[in-house]
Amino acid sequence: MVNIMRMDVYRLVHGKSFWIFLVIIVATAALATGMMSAVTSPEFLQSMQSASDAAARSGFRFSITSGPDFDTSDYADVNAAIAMLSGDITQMAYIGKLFLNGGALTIMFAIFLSIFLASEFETGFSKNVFTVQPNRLAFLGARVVEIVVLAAVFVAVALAATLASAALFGLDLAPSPLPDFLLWGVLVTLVTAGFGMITALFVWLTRKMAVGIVVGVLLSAGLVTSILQAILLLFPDLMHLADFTLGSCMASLGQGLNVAGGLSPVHVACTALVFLVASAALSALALQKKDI
Amino acid sequence: MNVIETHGLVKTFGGRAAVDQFDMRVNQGDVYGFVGRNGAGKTTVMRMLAGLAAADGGEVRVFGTDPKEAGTSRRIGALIEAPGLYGSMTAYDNMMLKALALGLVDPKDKVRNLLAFTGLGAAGSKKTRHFSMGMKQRLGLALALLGDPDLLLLDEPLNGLDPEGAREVRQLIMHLNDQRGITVVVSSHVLEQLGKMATRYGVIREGRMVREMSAADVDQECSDFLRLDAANPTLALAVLQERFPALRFQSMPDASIRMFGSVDAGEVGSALNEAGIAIQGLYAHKRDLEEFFVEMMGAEYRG
Repeated sequence: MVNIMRMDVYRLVHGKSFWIFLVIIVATAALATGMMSAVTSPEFLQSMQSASDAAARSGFRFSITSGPDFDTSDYADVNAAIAMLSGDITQMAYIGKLFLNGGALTIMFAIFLSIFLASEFETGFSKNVFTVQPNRLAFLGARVVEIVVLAAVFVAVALAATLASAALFGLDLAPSPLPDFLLWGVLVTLVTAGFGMITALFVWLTRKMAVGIVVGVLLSAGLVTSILQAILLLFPDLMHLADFTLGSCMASLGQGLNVAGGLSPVHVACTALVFLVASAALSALALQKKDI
Repeated sequence: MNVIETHGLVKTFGGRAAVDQFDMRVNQGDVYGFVGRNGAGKTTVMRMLAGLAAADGGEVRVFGTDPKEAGTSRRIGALIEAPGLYGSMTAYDNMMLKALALGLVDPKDKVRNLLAFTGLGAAGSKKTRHFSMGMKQRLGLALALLGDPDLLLLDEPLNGLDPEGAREVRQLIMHLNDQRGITVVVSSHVLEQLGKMATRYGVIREGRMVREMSAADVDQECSDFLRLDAANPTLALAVLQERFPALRFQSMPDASIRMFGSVDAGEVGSALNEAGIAIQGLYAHKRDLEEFFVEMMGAEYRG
């Protein structure tokens, strides 16, 4: 098991895809934070207000809202909202908006994992691996550990890049207590690893990179959770079951930790662990049953 | 000692038996030529021997144990179908991955030595997607040799090699067998090269072992023979067996008779004339290895 992990670390370090995805995460954080910093800067807000005032004086009337009651004060309202947003948003909520709520981080993780895990089978290198390590459970054990560790790396890079970018661009984020922030990071890691493990299951079932990517993206984008929620609308008594999906857990974490209406840390941790363990158990069956 | 032993091995795909009651024995030190048509089941057998596929029935023993046992699997080096390589990585990196998976001590030196041994010393830093087919086969062989295996399973290792490359790989295999005592099971359609290295043969047809024989047996069966077409082949065979007890006879499905050994066509003709058996044809013939195996692999072979 340790030897398989040593092999995989070598492949990660000497391959390209791992570094490419980390660069994409850093670039996303920097670009989004830079734009946020620009649109919430006092200079930008002032220039927007001046532009709308000047337009109003010259007889033009612009507004954001439509209908007969349009009003140039819309700009002032929006600017106030942006200013409030930039001033009051927490670190967790801001990172959630960038990487978690839309599924950006988990989508990138699922695509990366699909490439990493499926290429072994698509190239045929798996024949070398399984003649060396015929114990499929040892192989799976190594990969489960790697998926959790890689999820932690992706999350850590996303957090570090976002906070560093915020500091660089002078974006004020309300700080969170360190223990809360760390706990939140661990929960995000667990949920991300859960998404990764389901992706891995489909890769090992089909040995196809494309299947892993499609499944990973659909799950990470929240499509499956949305469909489940729609179905549960027909059964109001069972509506609470929608909280036991990875998508709901990530959506809750995207707001922060212990926020009103959010899911508890214990709930999120247990849900993520159940998905991790169940996917690993099904993966064990798939790996044992299928020939190489 | 049998390095490989299979009894009644069965492997089915979608209800069709790709390997059916397959028995095989490979001795320590053999270079075992594994011969069969495309789709006969060679690769499936190799995959089961390497522990990559599970048998649906029967038993497979390698070094007396299940090939999936950790101690056994490490003694097997396999190059089955195409060599599995990461095209975006160098030959050296591909080798390092397997060396690390094996947990080799001093993997870098072992990788460099094997690359040099297989003639890829200068191409180690080249990405394998730029390799020719022959270079990939050599790298596949180098990968199979990592960990100093006692048994090599080579499925079509000469594929894609030019005559010079095929000769070099054959010499490499013979060197490994001769100098390191590695037992080798090698399948190939290049029967000429196979004939120069194999010490034993096994012929598979439609998933069944047709026959196992030594290289000496093959040499004998490939020797000159007389082909006789007679009006009454059964009587002719009886007459000839009585008259020429030192010869070896083989009845063929087309009713012809083959006579092996030192024999004169005139004497055969005289013996049959004396017995009143009409001769329809009597020809001298020499089979080459390809003809011998093609006949055995084909449907007309009776054994």
